[in-house]
Amino acid sequence: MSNPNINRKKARLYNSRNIRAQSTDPSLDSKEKLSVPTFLASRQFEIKSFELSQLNSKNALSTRIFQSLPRSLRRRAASHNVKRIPKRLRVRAVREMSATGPVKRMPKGRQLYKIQSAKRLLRVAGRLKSMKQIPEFKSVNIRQQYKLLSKQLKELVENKKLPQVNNAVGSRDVVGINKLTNAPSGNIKYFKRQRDFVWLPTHIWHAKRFKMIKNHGYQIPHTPTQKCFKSMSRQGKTKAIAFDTSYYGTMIINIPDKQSYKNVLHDLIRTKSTKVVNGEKSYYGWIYMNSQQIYQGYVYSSLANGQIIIRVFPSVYKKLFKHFKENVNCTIQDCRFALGSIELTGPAALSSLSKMLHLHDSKTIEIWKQLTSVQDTDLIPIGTTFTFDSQDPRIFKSFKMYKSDTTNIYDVIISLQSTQLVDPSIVNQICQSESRNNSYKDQLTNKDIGKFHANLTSQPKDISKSHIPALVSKLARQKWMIILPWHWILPFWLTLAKIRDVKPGGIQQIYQLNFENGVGSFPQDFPWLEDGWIYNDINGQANLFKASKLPKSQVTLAAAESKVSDVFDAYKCDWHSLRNITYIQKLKNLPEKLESKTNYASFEGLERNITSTHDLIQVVRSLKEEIVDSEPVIELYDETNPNHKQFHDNSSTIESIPAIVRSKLPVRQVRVTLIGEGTISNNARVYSDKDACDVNVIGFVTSGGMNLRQGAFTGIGAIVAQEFSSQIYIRNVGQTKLYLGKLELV
Amino acid sequence: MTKRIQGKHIKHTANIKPRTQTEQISTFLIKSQTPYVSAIKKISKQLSKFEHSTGVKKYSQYKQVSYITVKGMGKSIEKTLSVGLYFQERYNVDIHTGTVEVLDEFQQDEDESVYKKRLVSSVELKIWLKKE
Repeated sequence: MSNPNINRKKARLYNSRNIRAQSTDPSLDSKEKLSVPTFLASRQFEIKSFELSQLNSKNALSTRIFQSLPRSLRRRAASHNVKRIPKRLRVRAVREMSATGPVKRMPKGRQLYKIQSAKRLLRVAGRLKSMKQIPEFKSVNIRQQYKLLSKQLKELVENKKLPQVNNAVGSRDVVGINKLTNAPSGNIKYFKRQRDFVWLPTHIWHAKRFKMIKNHGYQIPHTPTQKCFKSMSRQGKTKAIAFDTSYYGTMIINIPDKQSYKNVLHDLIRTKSTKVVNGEKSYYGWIYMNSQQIYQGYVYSSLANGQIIIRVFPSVYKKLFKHFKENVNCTIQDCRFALGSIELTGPAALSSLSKMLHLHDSKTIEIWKQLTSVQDTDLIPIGTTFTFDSQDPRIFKSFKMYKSDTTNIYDVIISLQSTQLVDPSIVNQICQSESRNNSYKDQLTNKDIGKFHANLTSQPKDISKSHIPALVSKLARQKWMIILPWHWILPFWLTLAKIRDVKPGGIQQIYQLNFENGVGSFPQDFPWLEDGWIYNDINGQANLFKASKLPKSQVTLAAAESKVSDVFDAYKCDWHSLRNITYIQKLKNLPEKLESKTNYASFEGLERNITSTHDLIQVVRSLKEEIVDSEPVIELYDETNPNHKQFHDNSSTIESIPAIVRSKLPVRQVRVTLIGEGTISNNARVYSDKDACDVNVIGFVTSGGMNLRQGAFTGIGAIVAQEFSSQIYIRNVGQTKLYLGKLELV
Repeated sequence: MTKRIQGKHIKHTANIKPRTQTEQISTFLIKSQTPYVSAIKKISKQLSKFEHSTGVKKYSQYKQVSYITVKGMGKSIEKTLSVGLYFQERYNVDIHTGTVEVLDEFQQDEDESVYKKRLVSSVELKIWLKKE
């Protein structure tokens, strides 16, 4: 016998698909003439029943109420937890659940024992935490760990030890002085998961909503699980997007001597601005190490305190730290796990930021109030920096809203130039381990907050005791950043996530916004830097590996590309071959004009004579197999470098082929936009001519795609630093079609 | 004549008040670079979106909006008015004149900027919708 449930379900589906129609048509009753009104009426009936059936069959097979919800309101646990469903649908959800709910199987035997012992362990650890102690973690099994903690607890009760931390939440400042510190161990329940890749303070929040990636020793939010390409672009245009960027490493350098302080700062950022040096403004731009650009990062210099705050990408952090430790006479604090940061982009960034900050009184609060009432444009100068003494945001039920003021905003902007917005004592609080630790004093637990909100007569000032130092800076156009002590990031983030104008984004959205604004993203768009070079290499290897797994029936990208290009690697931006092919055309003994037909090879000694284009390409191919470079073969074009200048004017020559292999190719970063139709994808080749010949390649697109802000395909890439017309041709990897585009220097 | 201030001249936008979603979709700003015909086409499109109560592309703010605002200032006043004249044939168009204050920035070097406030004449059109 078949299952009656399935039969019923099928019947429902069949019924829903039935379209009712009139069996008799009265308009045709009199055989001579058509009755128009009745004819129209019956067609109307048919169309209506057709539309109705469309609606019916759409919902016919849905058995649960949440299937009618839009994606953004669906929750992972909604099928068995009614609290995950909007209130208006809960009654029905409960009914549906009780009808078909699964029977919960209780654990037995070894499984039960494991759960119970883990629970026991957590109980001891929780007890220690509430007694303001740091539970000792070791990589041992649960039973041994339990013994260890029980011993710690026993000793504590017998010897009456002093508390190790100043709060019951377990927040404490983890800092390394002149050495890199170990990663924070986190909560004992999740201790093993964050040993190799550190969790951000907001990890649990993000892990529920984002795809995470493990990179540079952190678990980084990559992209929201819900699709958001268009909505994020729109959000960036009209509202705000927030990023938890605590994975950026912060270090603080302390140099008491004023002159050497200035020298170190000049070597680091090469700015002439006295405002940056004095700490009236912050700096966001290229950071130099041994006179080489390494990264576009954030620097705040407080000359009065002799402290420099440097915030860089995690892949750059360790070498910069090592550089300072070895070459500069200073004290360095490794604040990777002591300071966190949140970035906000979009026109509503500033107003959203102000909604989450409940500030203690200060002199700058008036200016802050007035600035936050305007839409963020170019009006507020880049580098504007505020310091604040903030309160715990969790104790306020509503957001901080400032009433619009009658003061002329332009007067405020003019006065910004001469007003001291930064309080050096707060900068000092951010820079001192002790004061960061003090900000955690009696940090409220969730239980405390719950109790406080349950009491209707309580006022925020009753329990607001915390003083949290915060540094707020405008990094670029419509881009703000706040630096906070590591364990305060989470409370602020939770508040920020509730603000209506704000949507959270991951690292992928940072790339997307950069791309839409025509700005390169680190590291992929900077192939002349070490990090960008490594990225390109690894990406190429990953693409090659993926292609090797393709079934034989499918054409690989390399096979498709080999029909058009003999030289370039299909899976990455092949700078190595571009360097070779560019320089080989500058060989001293090259004939004026190369033959275009294929010929037999002739050799002089070990080197092949180059008489035709075919010879040239064969030589480049042979060079490809010989050497694998571990460091970039390209460098950024520098006008002051005489060799570059010569190369740019096309007057440089190369002695011999071995000299090519030792030299670097000067390149410039460019933006490309398609003029007509077409697409641009990553690694696309840029040609100077309509003829898709390898010698005409002048560069590669490092990241390309649809730019929603411009409504066209654009790309960011790099080309050989020579004069080219702004009209170029673009060919995607593995395709023969060339698209016309225009070039623009970044 | 006042003396010219040295430095790179940065003109800041006059639209610094945060706008609501409704304001954003029912306002059209005419710049000096805006081509006349594109302006006409865009405004007509906006009008038709608010006029029809049904259809695929309907704004959710349908009920709140009763007119489309078109703004222009300075050099683009003439263009704004001719746009207004074009729509006057089919719609009721109100014309309001006014003045807006803008800020000029003269950037002298990395640190120093001289700011100057300036008043500019402006014109605002209200094109009233003909609702179905």
